[in-house]
Amino acid sequence: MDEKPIAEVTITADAAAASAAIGNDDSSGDDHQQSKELAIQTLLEIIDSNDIQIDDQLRRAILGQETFETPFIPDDDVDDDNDTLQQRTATRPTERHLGRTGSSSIRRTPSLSRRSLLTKRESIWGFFVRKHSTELAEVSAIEKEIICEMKEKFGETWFDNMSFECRVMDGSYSVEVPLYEENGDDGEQPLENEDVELQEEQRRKRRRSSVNNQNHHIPTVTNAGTIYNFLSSIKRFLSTGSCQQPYETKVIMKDVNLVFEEGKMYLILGAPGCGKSTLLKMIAGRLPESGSGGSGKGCRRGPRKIIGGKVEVNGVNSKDSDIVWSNVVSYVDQIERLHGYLTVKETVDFAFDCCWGGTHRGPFVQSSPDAEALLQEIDKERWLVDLIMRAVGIKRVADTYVGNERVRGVSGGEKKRVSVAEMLAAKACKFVGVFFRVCCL
Amino acid sequence: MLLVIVFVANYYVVSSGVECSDEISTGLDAATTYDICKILGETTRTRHTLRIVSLLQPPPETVALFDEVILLGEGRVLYAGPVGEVTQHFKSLGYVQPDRMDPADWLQSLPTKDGSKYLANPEQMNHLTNEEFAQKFIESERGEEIRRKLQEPPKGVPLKDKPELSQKYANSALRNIKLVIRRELLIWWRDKTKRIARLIQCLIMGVIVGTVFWQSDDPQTRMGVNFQSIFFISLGAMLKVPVSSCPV
Repeated sequence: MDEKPIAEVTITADAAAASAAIGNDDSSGDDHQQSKELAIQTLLEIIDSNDIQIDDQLRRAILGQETFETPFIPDDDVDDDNDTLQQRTATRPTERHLGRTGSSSIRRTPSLSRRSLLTKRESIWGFFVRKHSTELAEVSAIEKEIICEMKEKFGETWFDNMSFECRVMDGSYSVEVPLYEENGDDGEQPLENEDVELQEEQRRKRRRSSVNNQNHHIPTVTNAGTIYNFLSSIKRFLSTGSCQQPYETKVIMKDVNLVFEEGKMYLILGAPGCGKSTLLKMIAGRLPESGSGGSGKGCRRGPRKIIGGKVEVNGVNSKDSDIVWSNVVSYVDQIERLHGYLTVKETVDFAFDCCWGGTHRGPFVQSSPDAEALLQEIDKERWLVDLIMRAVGIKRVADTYVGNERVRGVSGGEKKRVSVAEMLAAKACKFVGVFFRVCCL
Repeated sequence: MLLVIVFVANYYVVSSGVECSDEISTGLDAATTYDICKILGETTRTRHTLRIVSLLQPPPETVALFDEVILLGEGRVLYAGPVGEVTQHFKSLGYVQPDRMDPADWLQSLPTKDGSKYLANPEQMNHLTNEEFAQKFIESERGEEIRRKLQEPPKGVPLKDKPELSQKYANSALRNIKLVIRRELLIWWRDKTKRIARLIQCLIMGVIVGTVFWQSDDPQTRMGVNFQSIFFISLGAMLKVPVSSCPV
């Protein structure tokens, strides 16, 4: 397991050198051809001496008899001449998908740039993809073995035959925020002056005043205070005859159409405040909503929050009352909500107790005396809690306070891990049947 | 061995079909983030579930672990598609990625004001706004594909007949109450300062109330003592009642 990456690195370096030799376009035709042949020979030697298995297609490609397609990472700087040499052992993403070990077949990998591997950003990205997929293939082989063994022993759980696909259609979210300064007249009043210049001036004035008023759109200590609110509502009452708080609608999310396919991991990027959390909360069904809003009782109504569109998983709408949505979609919050005076272990324990009733008994499909005995045993030592703490790396601080501003506890990074562990314990062990093999490790 | 434990633990820990993680990297170092994302990805692929993770400034090696990337700007989808094609998409819109810049960083700053400095020909074209970016994406090939996929009938196993999904709590109500009370008592006991302060407060109040009604056998005074103590106990702890509000 350890040898392969080292070999890989050597090849990378050598191949880079080789391709550098090949790609030297400035040299005259003959020299160029010669050095190219030399480089190809070197590459083949490297491949043979490192015992890398490649298939015929690649060998032909290296010898220049066939060109390879480059489906994955775009690499526009590489010319066709060089392209044949860009092939190397690694798994393609579709294949790592299936968890194949990928020793026999060889796949196309991108971007051994002519100059050097590290001068190009894309190359680095590609390099990591490549490196990662080989590692993954190794680990998933071990994992698969374990899982097969587990399945034999305990049978399958209902989850094994599931696949999930999530769709967001026309997702939108808008919130009404109170206006803290009266500028309601501005928008409604029609422009009276017929003179174009005067109209223009009026507009400019309004724009300026609205710029000035922008400060009041966010609550400050002054304008959100009780006395200020009271005074401004009296003022409003005197001027307009109603003391209703004016609201403006703020669009947080709009026109979001997305399809999430099974077995894929998605990354959401974006500048702060662009709606990343809103999108995630929408999918998880955790956005606060007040559809009908105030029905005109009293002078105040609450700010309305409107969710548009729908979220579906396997065709089931998130508003379906038959299904507890948090069982289908789980959500890990940005903010840690932990109790300072509990120890790390107690925090995880509590999650486990609450969500699983303190037992490892998941929905067993198959039950045998053997399994029962094991269950009792692992229930007694609260095996899952221990496993999760080990997995997340907080076993060392298991009996330390989590800590808050008043009590000294674990460090910030560890605290993050505690909340991850809490989530894991809460969500875990519908598949506990299968923990047996790990115990034996 | 530990690696395998971690993997298997996570493998079985996935119980929801779709898992959203909001900025899990905050407070973690790059290596741990990488490890966590790697594990998440591996379990997702073998279990055929779904993971949606939002990260702030992920390093390139972490980004490479993901299958697809979704770029948001002011609540609009600016791109959604394979990680490998994202830079290409924005290059086709007339932007240049600087040599020494992370793709993720570049993507994050593109839809902002700073994005204008990545324009290939600043003289000829203006910096696109978020709406224009979103519109361009909708018109692109990927956008078409998404719309087409949305039209298809839903895939996957129907969820309706799964009793596991309709059950909200694992315990009975009684056990839940027991658990919560035990936890609350534990927290109360652990907070030493508060406990001692409360004890002293009670003692002082007790002494005062006791001396006021000292050596009196009148039934009315007894009622007075009872009233005083109930009053003190019920209202004295009012501040401790947690008022939870739902954050947006």
